[in-house]
Amino acid sequence: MSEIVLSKDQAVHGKGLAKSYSKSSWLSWLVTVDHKRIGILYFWSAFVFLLIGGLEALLIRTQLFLPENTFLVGKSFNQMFTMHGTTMVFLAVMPLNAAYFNYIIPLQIGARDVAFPRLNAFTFWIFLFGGLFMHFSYIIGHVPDTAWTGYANLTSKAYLPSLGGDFWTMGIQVLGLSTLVASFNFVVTILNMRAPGMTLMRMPLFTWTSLVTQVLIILSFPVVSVALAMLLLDRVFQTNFFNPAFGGDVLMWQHLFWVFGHPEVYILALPVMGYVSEILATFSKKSLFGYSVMIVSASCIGFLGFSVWAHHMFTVGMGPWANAVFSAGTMTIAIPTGVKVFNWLFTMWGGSIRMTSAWLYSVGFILMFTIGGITGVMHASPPIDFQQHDTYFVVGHFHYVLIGGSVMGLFAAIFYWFPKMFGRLLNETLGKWQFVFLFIGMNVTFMSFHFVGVEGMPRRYYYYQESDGWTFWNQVATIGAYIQASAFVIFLYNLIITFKKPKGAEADPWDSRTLEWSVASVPPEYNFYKIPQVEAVDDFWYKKQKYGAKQAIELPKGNEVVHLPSPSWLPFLSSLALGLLPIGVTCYAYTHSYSYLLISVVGFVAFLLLAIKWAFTPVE
Amino acid sequence: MDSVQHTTTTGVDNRKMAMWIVIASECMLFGSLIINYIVQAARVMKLEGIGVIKPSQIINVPITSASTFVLLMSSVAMVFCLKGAREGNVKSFRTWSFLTAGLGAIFLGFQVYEFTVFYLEGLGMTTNTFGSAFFTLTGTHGAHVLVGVVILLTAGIWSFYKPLDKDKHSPVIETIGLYWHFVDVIWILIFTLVYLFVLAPK
Amino acid sequence: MFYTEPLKNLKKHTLKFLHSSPIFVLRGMKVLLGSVFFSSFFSPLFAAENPNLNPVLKFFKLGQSEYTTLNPANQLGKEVLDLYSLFAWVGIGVFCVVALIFIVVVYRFRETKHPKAKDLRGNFLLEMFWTTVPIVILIVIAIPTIQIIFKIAEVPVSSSDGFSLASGKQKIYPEYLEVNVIGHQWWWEFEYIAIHKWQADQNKDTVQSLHRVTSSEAYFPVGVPVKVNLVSEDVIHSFWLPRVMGKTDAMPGQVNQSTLVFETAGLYKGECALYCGASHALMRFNVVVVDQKTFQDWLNWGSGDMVLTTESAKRGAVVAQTCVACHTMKGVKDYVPRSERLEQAKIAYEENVKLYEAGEKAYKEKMAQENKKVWERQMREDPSMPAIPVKPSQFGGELATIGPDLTDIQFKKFVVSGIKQNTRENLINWIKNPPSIKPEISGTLTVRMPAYEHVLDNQSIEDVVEFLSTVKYSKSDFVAPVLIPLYPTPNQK
Repeated sequence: MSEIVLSKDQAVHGKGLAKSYSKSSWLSWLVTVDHKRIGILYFWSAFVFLLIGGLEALLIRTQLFLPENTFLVGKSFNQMFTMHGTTMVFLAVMPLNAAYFNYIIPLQIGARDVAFPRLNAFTFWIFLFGGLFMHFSYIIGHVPDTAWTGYANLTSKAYLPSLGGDFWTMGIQVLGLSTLVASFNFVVTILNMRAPGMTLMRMPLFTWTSLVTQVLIILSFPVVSVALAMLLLDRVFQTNFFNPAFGGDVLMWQHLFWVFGHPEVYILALPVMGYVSEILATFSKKSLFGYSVMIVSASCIGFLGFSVWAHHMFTVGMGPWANAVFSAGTMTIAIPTGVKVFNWLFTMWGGSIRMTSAWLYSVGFILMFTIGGITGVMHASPPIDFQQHDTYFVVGHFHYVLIGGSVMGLFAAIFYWFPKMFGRLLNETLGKWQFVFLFIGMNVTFMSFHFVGVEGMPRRYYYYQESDGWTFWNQVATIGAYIQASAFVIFLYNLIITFKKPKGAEADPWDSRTLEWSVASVPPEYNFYKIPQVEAVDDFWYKKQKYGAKQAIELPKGNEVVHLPSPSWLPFLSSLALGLLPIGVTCYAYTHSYSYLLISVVGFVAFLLLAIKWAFTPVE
Repeated sequence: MDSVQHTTTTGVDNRKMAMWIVIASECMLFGSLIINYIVQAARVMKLEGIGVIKPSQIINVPITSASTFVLLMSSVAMVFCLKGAREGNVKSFRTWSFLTAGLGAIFLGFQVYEFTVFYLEGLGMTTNTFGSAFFTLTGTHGAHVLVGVVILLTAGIWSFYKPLDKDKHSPVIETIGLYWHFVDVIWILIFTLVYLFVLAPK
Repeated sequence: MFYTEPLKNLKKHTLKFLHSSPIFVLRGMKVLLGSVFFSSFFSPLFAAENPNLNPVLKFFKLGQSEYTTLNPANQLGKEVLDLYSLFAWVGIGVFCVVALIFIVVVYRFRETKHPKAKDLRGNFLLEMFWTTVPIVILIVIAIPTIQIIFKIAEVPVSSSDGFSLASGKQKIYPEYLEVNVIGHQWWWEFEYIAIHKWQADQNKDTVQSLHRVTSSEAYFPVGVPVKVNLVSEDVIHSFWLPRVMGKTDAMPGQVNQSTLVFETAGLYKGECALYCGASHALMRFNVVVVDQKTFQDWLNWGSGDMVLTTESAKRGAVVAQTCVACHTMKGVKDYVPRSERLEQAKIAYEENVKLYEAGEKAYKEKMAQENKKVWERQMREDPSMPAIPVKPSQFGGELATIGPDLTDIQFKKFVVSGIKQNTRENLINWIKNPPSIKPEISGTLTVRMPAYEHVLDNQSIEDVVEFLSTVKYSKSDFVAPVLIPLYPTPNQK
């Protein structure tokens, strides 16, 4: 372990390869194992992918502004909605949540770092590789057009022969690996590295919902890995898993994908519910209403989420009994979700509400997620779903829960934890204007989607005619999309002017309740001078009431010895090595020349050797 | 592989807890593969046609029973290996870890032999969906055994170069043992569903 | 005076509200606007008899598309719409409750008004309340849901004196029509299999086989249930007639069955509702529902010999010999029913098996050659080359249906998968250059039809269009019905 002696101004010395890199050099970012730096890396990468995904959405909406428009047609349009969906789900929302898992969880539980710091860094680099790998397809012109759900047998080589399908399959496989490995890390961290006195029922709600999320990831990602592996074998190695002409089963893909896919949407939503719970409590100056009920309902949502996957498949002909069972199960999930909504509203009851941007986004989340939930319950009924499935109505539903829900919740988290992560407060006025634009734009676009879906417009249509009667609402939706885009422009401007300001935020600018606010804004590398002894739920608030605000915020003092993990090249190099596997397979898929598979073999062997070195390098 | 903290909130070592979680994840992985196998094999069994290679025609239960026995014995060896690590007995630990790895390698040898025989008899990965499902399932399991063998060999070889500290290293060996036993349990499941079911009356 | 006091208070409170935190006012207004916007959208409850007359729907431009789900044309569709209305009202109610609580909470407990927070942590009764009430509501909406699930799943079954769609309204039908609906990339094929008639005196049903196929525009009789067997020849498609029934997926390797009941004559528009590739958006179809006599005449079309009257048509008939490489047409190349194609595929499969038995090498060589053909075909990007479908298909292999049947193309209201009006000009443009209508920027497998402007001269193309538009058959007598559009829509080109 690297030992540090803490004093007011001090530098951290690490051992091994990276010792010559000072903290401020860019190389230090490649070798960092500090959960905070990894969180920041996730944050910026995900943000860039969010903007790219948004651009793809604008292109889609621009094409659909006019009937029989020729701006972006056929395969190119299909590529656009594929990349938009895939980027937003796997490269924007999930890593933004991961940024907060990384940054905030150890601080909230009173730990100095996660359980496996180098593994943590590895998950970031492999995620970055996966995202870049998938976007490399743009450079060579073979962009995936499989749709983000990748239904067999359209995705077989016979029907989508371009390399795009292979990029998509392997890209998601790699991203799945990143998320899965990260989940191992976080579960062990949350269960095993809590500060003394922090029982499970004293953990902040974000940590709790993150725990449920990680469990969902652990159980659902292997299933999609199997599906993707089978699809890759079909595409590249001529197996026939999903080829009905040779005995394969088209439905198998759908079942496997949705057994993953449904918990995936809860993976996107649950952490956001955690943010909202904490932010509402903070800005109402009181504790969360029904703490244990919130935990139980989050767990119920997670658990029940595994039993309802076939509600995405009502129309495939499973039969009325299967449809009825899954319908009942899906409606049941509305109950814990509704309980949470009411608990959030009553969190504010009796409190003293400060209407900051973070608060605005949180209540925006509540209302928009409710609307999304209501349309979701409509989909839960097969007779209604037969008319709504695969139409814009569904697109409206999931954008309400994803943008109105996840993205708004993420912006709430961004505004809330910005001072902690970057040492400066984002401009509140701009934040509120951004909210106004996002809220209005979002409702204009996605309510119009419901309308045009009810009018019979299926999704993934690049073309419609004036006589179809869908023109008006498509045009309104496009205008809404540009309004949302302006919200992002405002946010970018906000970021620019905020980073021009010097760091100087106080440790606890919002008068918050949880432990991460008890350390300096931009915490020191060792997080806590002394690991806190936790006495109650919302321990920081409790200590502020008991000992007063000043004493509760720790200041660095001298001569406490702490052990921190050293920076290491191993995570970065291992992900490069592992990245050679999909590259080799892609080259083979393009040329059908076995020699390219050697690249994969070399990558695998290099990874194995690095893994062995990793196993025998202690984390000091 | 170390983690920073040595005292844990639950009392369970970090690495051991991580291995349990990995096992949960792997259960879902093998579960999906097994379900896929059952569906595809059942379909192929219903096909009529002279050239169709069905499980009942090609699966050799006696030989695979032998390899299953070998794998089960390797789990026993793993138990002794852990015992040796816990007692701090380097020789015992080393011997048993090599034995475990050896028995695992013998199992893999049986698998390679079986795969070769199947291929020569006409059942390849791409022949029919039974072939695809079978090779994917058993191949994934075999890959897991291979990883385990490599880890055990590495641990055994390492013991030549570094002293064995029973307090520091037992959790690691226990974690490896956990993985190895899990791989064995999965094999028992696969053996039952893939091989023994072939013996069932139609 | 005492009765003006409350009014004065109201004015005071309203002014105070309006002058209070602007963000809150903005927020509240947004919530209210949102509720209005949102609830007016949930207005299928107004979609009673004729949504065109409903001013709310008209204002929001709903219920006016020919694909709308708000104007069902049969009893079951109306029941589904009523179910949707129920869910909509429940949804409005839930949202209003949430919004109301929100507005009250934010108004009462905003910082300026309520600076000191009370530390309320929970309330068991409230938790019980908002757990049990949703359970009750869900049970209430689940019961009709499950009832209708089973109603929709019905196919005609024999009962004591006819065919019934069992359960529900016990309506007995004397006959039903069985149709194979086959999805292709990117058009719909309708293969008429049989008419099942109930013979009361013999107490069984008789099956009258039909030999009729069409594409993209199918005729059905009014008042007779139509049992569709949905399947696909390539990828998954979804068969959707929004005004008639919910969608059901057409999958390769699995036959899904569904029942369509048409209660009124007219033109119904349908679409493909599952992403199936480049031209997914251009895979429309139409259903024309007519009386029994017209339907029988239509079924009969194509029987007898071809009768051509003009020279141009006769020349066109010769040109059509190239078309039947992919298309089928009565008198030029008759279509092979799917059941026969499956038989042929079985024979071909057995031959392959014999080859395999004979010696692996010959079998492997043949398979390698087939694979190579597939690879070459898929990597070729020249749209003017004729597309050879060498996809491994258990549905007939070399006999797989490649292009739509053209026998009754002259009667269609819309051609090119229901996209274009049936005019000579549209047909000529389509034959000349299909990618200009079903476009794609790059890549293969867009539209299987090659661009004939590279292959045929203009005269030939005009001739073949003349042939298609004027061909008659000696034993057929059919006049296309005049179709009154459902809504007056701008002219489709």
